[in-house]
Amino acid sequence: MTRSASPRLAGYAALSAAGLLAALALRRPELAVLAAPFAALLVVGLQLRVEPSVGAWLELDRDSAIEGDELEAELVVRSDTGVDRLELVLALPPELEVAEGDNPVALRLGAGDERTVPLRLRCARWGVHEVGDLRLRARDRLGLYTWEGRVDRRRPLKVYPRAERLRALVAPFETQVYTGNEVARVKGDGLEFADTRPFEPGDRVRAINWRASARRGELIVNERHPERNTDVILFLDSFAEARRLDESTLDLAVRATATLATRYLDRRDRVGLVTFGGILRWLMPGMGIAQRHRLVDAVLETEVEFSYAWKDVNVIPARTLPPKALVVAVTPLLDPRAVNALIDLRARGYDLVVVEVSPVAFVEPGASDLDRLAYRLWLLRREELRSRYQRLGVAVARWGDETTLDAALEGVRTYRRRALLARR
Amino acid sequence: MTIGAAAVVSATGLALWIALAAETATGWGCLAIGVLAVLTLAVGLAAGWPSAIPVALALLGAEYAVFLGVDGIAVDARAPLVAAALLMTAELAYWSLELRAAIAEEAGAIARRVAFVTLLALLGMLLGAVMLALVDAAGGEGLWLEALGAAAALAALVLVLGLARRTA
Repeated sequence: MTRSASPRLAGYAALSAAGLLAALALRRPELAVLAAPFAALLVVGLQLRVEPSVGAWLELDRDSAIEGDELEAELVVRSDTGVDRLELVLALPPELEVAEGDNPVALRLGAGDERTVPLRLRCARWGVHEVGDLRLRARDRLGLYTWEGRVDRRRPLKVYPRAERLRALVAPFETQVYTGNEVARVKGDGLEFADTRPFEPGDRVRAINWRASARRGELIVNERHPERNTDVILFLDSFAEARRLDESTLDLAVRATATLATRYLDRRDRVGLVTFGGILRWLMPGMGIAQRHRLVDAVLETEVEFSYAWKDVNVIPARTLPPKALVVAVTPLLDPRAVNALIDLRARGYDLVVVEVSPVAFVEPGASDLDRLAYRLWLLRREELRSRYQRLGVAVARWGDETTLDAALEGVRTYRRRALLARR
Repeated sequence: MTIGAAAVVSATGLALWIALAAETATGWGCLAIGVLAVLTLAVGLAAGWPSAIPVALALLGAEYAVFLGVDGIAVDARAPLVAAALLMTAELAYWSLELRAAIAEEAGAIARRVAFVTLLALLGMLLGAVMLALVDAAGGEGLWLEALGAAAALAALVLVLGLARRTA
């Protein structure tokens, strides 16, 4: 611990000196009497000074939590020498708040004492947060010296994004070859009835539709849609964000991405991730619980990294975007690099859905007429951008303050049903 | 806030007491120095300047010195009381600066500290009384006594400053 003299030490020394010198100069013993307690306090304090030996650490009841959760934490502090006053503070990242308990706190410890300070921490925002940075300040009995130290036993606390309510997902136009929960549009072995056709050699007897055969006077078999899995690529735009106080479009986007990843994986789909921003991150499509953990961990690392470098889809590894994959882009549509990359993806034939995390609620129109005009022009430009996507056959779900993610995706599903009819 | 106010009240009480105890002509001068001391202390505490505290206390000491010098009292028996009041004011003032940081105190900490400050003031008063008694017992004047007093004062100064320097 680093020792430093308190202002009291210099002040009392100066007062003692001034009092004693004045007593000598003025030949008044009373002035020496005034200085004597300060001088005596200094002598006693300096003689009794002992450097404190203090140990402290943080205990958390778990290493991971969901956004909005509250964690039980304990600050444990122990001293071998005893400390008259120990100020203890747990330095927390801004994403964690103290919901209950005292931080910072002042304690008095006897020699060999161990004390526990209970705290309840609220996880205000998702992310990987480092917790366990403790700052200590000890004072001696007479407050002449302070010792300051830091116990850095930080460890990661993973706070996963809160899941959004979602009843149904957006189904891709095309499925893959593996078994899954998505009813394929092609015909084959499956459960869902598709059509009937005349019997052909090689057809299974169990596929014969006896009623239809009796009516038609020839053997008729049922055709079915097989259940297949799909490849879903979540495209998270992290070039820019709109922020207000404690929430940003990136927060919402990460929440939506994590929710979609979890729900698609639940359907036995292969899910991949591309975080397209100042730093490009990707995760190859995969399935299962391990992939869920990989995805959520990758999403947790997402931050807006400012960059002027121009990026397009060519920088994305080809294997990250398999053919026939559904690309779900979660974006505030603020950065032209992401906007153009999505148009490029569509032009390359990818089945694309855009979930627009609306930044409109994060932007104030401004006070002056010019500001309001600029705001209206900005809104019109956004409308035009959406129309551009729709002309390319890309459904755009607007998710903002007024709508839930589920309602926004319902609009996409409706759009895609109509688009499918148009394709047929 | 409360502790800071207590320090200012203590300083005000001391300044007023000295001014009232002085003769009328000296009283106004003492009062002026006392007001300056109290203002220095109040501003220092409000602004969080620890260096204002010894200045304010030195001004209070100066007020007392003016009172002693002009009124020409032989030996003032109230000096231990003044010393105790000064020490208490200083302790309360520094304590109030410590409390500027919003730190939660454990139960009983305030009461313990109040008792400690009171004990310090009492010990200060006792020490002053002992010193005055020694002065009284020595009695009279003389070169050797003055030389002894000067040597003791200088020795105390050297001791305090030496200790402070060694341990700083």
